Amino acid sequence: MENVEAASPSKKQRMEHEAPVSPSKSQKTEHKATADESQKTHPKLKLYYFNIPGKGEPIRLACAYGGVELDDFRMHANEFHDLKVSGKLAFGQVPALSVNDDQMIFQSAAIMRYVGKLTGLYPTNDDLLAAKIDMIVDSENDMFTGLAVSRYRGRFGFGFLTEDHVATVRKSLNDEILPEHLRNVEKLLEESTSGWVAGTANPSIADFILVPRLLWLVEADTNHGISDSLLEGYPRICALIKQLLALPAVVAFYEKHAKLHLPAHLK
Amino acid sequence: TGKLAYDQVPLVEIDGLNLVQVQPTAGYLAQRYGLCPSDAAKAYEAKAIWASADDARGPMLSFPFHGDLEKTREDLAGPQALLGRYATRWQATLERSGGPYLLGAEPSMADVGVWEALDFYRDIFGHAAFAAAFAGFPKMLAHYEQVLSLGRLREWRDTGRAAVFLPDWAVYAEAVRATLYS
Repeated sequence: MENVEAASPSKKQRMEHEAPVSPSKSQKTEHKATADESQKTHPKLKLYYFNIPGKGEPIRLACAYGGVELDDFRMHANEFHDLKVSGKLAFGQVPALSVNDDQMIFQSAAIMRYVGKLTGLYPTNDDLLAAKIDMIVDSENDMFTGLAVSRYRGRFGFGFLTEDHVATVRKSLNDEILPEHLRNVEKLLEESTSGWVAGTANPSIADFILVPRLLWLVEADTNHGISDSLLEGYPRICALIKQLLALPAVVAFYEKHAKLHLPAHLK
Repeated sequence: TGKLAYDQVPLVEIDGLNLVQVQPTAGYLAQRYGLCPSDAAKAYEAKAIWASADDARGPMLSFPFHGDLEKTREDLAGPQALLGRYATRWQATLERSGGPYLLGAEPSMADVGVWEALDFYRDIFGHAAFAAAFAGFPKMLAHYEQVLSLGRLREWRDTGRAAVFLPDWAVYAEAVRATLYS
């Protein structure tokens, strides 16, 4: 019990940690004196990704939430091929974020930390809170490693896997491995008074990364062997998903872009 | 209107008939337009290759609904899939028959089915990736070009279908969902 109390900061401490993630009102006033001025303080951002949610969606949603303009370039296969052969992709992969038409950054979590600092979704002056958010983002990577390997086998040296192998992996993921990860996330949410996964007063990049990923996990006909009702046993995870999807900026985003196809229990 | 015998599409209205179910519809059209041999054994071979193209096509049919290029490419490269199994067998068939068509000197529905599977790949991944993927199957690439020279197929591929198909995969997938599932 002592360990749990130590790990779970008092409410007062949590508020102090939470404040920097969401810029203070005075900061907001200074930066957003006029709409034009606020755009000028932000670098020019262009996202290169496919026309799917995937790893790009958190970036799109974060910019929408933070009011940061994003050139959301959704590539066809031809365009991706050209980009790959151009040598501009440091790791041959997208998402890629171009900043001020000058530099490209890669790896969705790194992009999200950068975008998070521009949009109030990631602290710029609280290393401990940043670490807490990072650990959740890193754990998302762990949660989805097995699924990624079973899905993109060649990328990981597993091109030899047959459909039967993949089915075996998916059953293990569905029945044992993913539930354990989901229990961990559910517990983090139990410890959060705000319902946001890092215990922040407002959403952080951890929420924007987790929610689209979890929706993709259980999307019908997407990951064979994974039950589309897998999340039903985790009420706080379901509440997190609904809470993020109810954010006005997120609602507006989906009204403008492709419809979400939500399972019944998340509608 | 009662035209869909099993409430499914595709439907082809032709000669006063309402044809549903892809395989027999293709068989009817092939017979009608001289793409089905009259010899029973050769007709079987044409239809069996057509059916194998159906199997090979599977991962591409679901592509529009998830849009995941890497997964689709992965699924098509697998040992039981288009590149791992079917392209090898089809290439061997071309070698045995002497070509330029799968059954030999004359085109059949087999060539159309196989061509469509390769063209679907090309459509999803682009020509450069298609050529790279099939670089190990030079007879298949040659076959692809040979079939393209039949009838109005080149014109259909390059301009005709753009006029009637929905503009991109995402729009197509949304249209299917709206029609079938809402």
